Amino acid sequence: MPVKEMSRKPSPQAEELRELLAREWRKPAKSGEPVILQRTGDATHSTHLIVVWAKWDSLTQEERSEIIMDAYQETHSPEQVLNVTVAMGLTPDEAEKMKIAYK
Amino acid sequence: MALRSRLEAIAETINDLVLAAEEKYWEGREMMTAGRPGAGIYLTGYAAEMLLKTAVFRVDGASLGDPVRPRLRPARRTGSIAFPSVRDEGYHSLLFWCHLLLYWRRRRPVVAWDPAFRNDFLRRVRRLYSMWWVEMRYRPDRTTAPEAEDVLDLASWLRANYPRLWR
Repeated sequence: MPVKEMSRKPSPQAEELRELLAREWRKPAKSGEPVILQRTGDATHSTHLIVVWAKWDSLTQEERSEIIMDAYQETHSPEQVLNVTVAMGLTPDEAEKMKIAYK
Repeated sequence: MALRSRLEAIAETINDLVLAAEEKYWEGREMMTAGRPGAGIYLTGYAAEMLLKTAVFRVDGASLGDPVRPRLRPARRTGSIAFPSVRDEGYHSLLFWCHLLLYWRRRRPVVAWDPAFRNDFLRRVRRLYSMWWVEMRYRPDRTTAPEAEDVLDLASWLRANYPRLWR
C-alpha cells in the first residue's frame, strides 16, 4: 500500500474560485471581476496582493487569503511566491469602506 | 452585543497586537508575582509571540494600522517553502516567527545585526520555545518558580530589544 501525505481537500467553492483566479492571472480580462491589485514595494521588494471580488462574500478572510495564495502559486514562480507578504480578498463593499481605488 | 461579537467586529491591526503584547506581558508578570508561575508563563509567552509576529510584519514595512489577517497565509506559505521543517503551530510557534524574521531581515533594507546580537536572539528564542507553546494549556501545570523567572527574563529581553528586531 502506498503511504501518502494526508491533506484536506479544498471545498468545491474554493476550488472553483482558485481556478477562476488563476485563469485571471494567466489571461487578465479587460473588465469585470475579480479585480487584482498588485503592488511591489520599491525598498522591500515584497508583493502585496488585493483581490476585489463579490464572490468572496461567504468566505472568511483566511479562506480568501488561502485561495489567493494557491492561485498565485499555480501561476507564478517560487521566487515570486516567496515575495508575497499580503494576500487580501475584499468584496466591492469592503474595498469601498477601505477606500481602495479599484475601478 | 456579546464580547466576542464586539471584539471580532473590527479586524485586528498590528497595533492591536503590539498593545496586546504589552498587556499580556504585564499580566503575566503580575501572575508570577502572585505565585501563579504557570499562568504567568502562559501570558508572557503570548507576549513574546506577538512581539516576534509584529516584528516580522514591520520588517516588511507594515504600518501599525494594517490588518494582521491578510499577512498570515503568505507568512505560512513562505515558511513552507523557505524552511519546511519548522511548523507554524497554528501561527503560534515562536521558532517559526523567529525563522521568518531572520529570513526577511536578510532580504529587507534593515540595519544588519551584529553576529553576537543574532546569536543571542536565536539562543533566547530557542530557550523560550523550549518552555512555551500554545498547547501547554492542556497540560497539568508543573511549572517551577525558576522556570517562570527564566521565561520572564527571556520575554523581557525581547520586549527591551523590540525596536531592534524590526529596524
